[in-house]
Amino acid sequence: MLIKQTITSILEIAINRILALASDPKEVLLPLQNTVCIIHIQEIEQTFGLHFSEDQIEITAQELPSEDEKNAMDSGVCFLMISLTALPELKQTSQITKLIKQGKLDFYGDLSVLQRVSKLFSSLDIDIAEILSQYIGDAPSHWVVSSAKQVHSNLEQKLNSQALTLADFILDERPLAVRGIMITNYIDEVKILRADVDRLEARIRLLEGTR
Amino acid sequence: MTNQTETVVEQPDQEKTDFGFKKVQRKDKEKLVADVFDSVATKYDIMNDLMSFGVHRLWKRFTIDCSGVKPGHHVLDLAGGTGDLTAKFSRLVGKNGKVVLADINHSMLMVGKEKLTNKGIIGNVEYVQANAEELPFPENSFDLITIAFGLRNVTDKAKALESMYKVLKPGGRLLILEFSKPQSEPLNKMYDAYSFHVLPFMGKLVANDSESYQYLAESIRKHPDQETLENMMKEARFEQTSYYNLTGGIVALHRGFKF
Repeated sequence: MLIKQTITSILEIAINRILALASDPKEVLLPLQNTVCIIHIQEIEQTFGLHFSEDQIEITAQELPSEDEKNAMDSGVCFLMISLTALPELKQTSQITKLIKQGKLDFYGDLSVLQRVSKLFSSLDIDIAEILSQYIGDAPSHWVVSSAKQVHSNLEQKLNSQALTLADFILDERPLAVRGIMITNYIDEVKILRADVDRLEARIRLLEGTR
Repeated sequence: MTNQTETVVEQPDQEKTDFGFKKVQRKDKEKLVADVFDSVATKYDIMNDLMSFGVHRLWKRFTIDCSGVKPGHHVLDLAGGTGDLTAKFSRLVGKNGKVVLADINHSMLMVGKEKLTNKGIIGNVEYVQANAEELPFPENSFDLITIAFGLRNVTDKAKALESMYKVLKPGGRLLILEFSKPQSEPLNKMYDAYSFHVLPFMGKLVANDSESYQYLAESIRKHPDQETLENMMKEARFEQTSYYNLTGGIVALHRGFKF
């Protein structure tokens, strides 16, 4: 029962930490002060509220608003239903209308709140190396970041190569593999053979009986 | 000594109430509870984290999630102690809203005020020393009233619920977060062992006060269980009452509305 609260708690700490590291929270949160953005993530069927205050973002677990509530959102409040995969696209303000048209984003309430939220997250430019260097020094932080980049690039390369293998399999190998119709034919042939054998067996028994 | 005992025995039962497992005069309970909280006020937050392994933060977060609080709302955080809920509500109601942190205990209120001020939470928070049984606010003042881990210390709970009903706006809701009755017997036994043996020991170790934490364990056992408290809310005219068991019923959140 408290899983949602644990998740929101972790999310809240992480987002506010990122905000504090990336910029002056008071400055970037000023345009959003006293607004609420309620997000329903379709895949996990969970609704979260992002409440923007003077110096931080509060995250709450929420009930899915009723149709009446959706259509009567106060000024300064917006509600969106979105797929997890489309969520990163919200960082570009220009994508909002496109997402709504494509049916990937269901939106109610104050559009200006969503535009401001989008602007906030796109403005966060985090220099991980600089943040790490405060704790572990310049050289180790450079090594950690470049290693992470290397691991990321290797993983990406492997994934690309696997995707290529899969594509080859689909295009070239799959037509050679046994298809459904061939299995059906084989089953039919086995059935005919079995019937022939049964008939032969019956004839043999008949012949043995006449002897 | 003998005379004192005789005097106590002669008192009618209505004049007595529970103070943990002890029976005390109703008029004395307030002072005894005040002594407990005067003693633990400075170590209250750290003890909460230690005793609940930090889970009290999730219980409080669940309370906030059930509050339906919106910017501009007026909230009363009753028995608000060191202001954990007030801090959150202050941000959620924004500049146009208001949160009143009320506590009967002056020491707790001062610890809360200092903590919130240090966090920069100022402007929409008021601090009021108030008795839950006689709330000093006009009728229909608040959109939301919360009382977290405070109701069990109130002498006359029915009177406090009536008082809360009075100051709540029509459409407003009351949330009571309080220790309750664990729903399974094995958990109940483990919880008993923990609260009567480990808690006072921790209290002695950290706050140098085992008696206050012994009272905490006893007062939890004497507090009405889930069903009884819900019925008490109904008797105080709250509607659409319900409760949620948290952590197996160790804690329960009761909710009721005024229409």
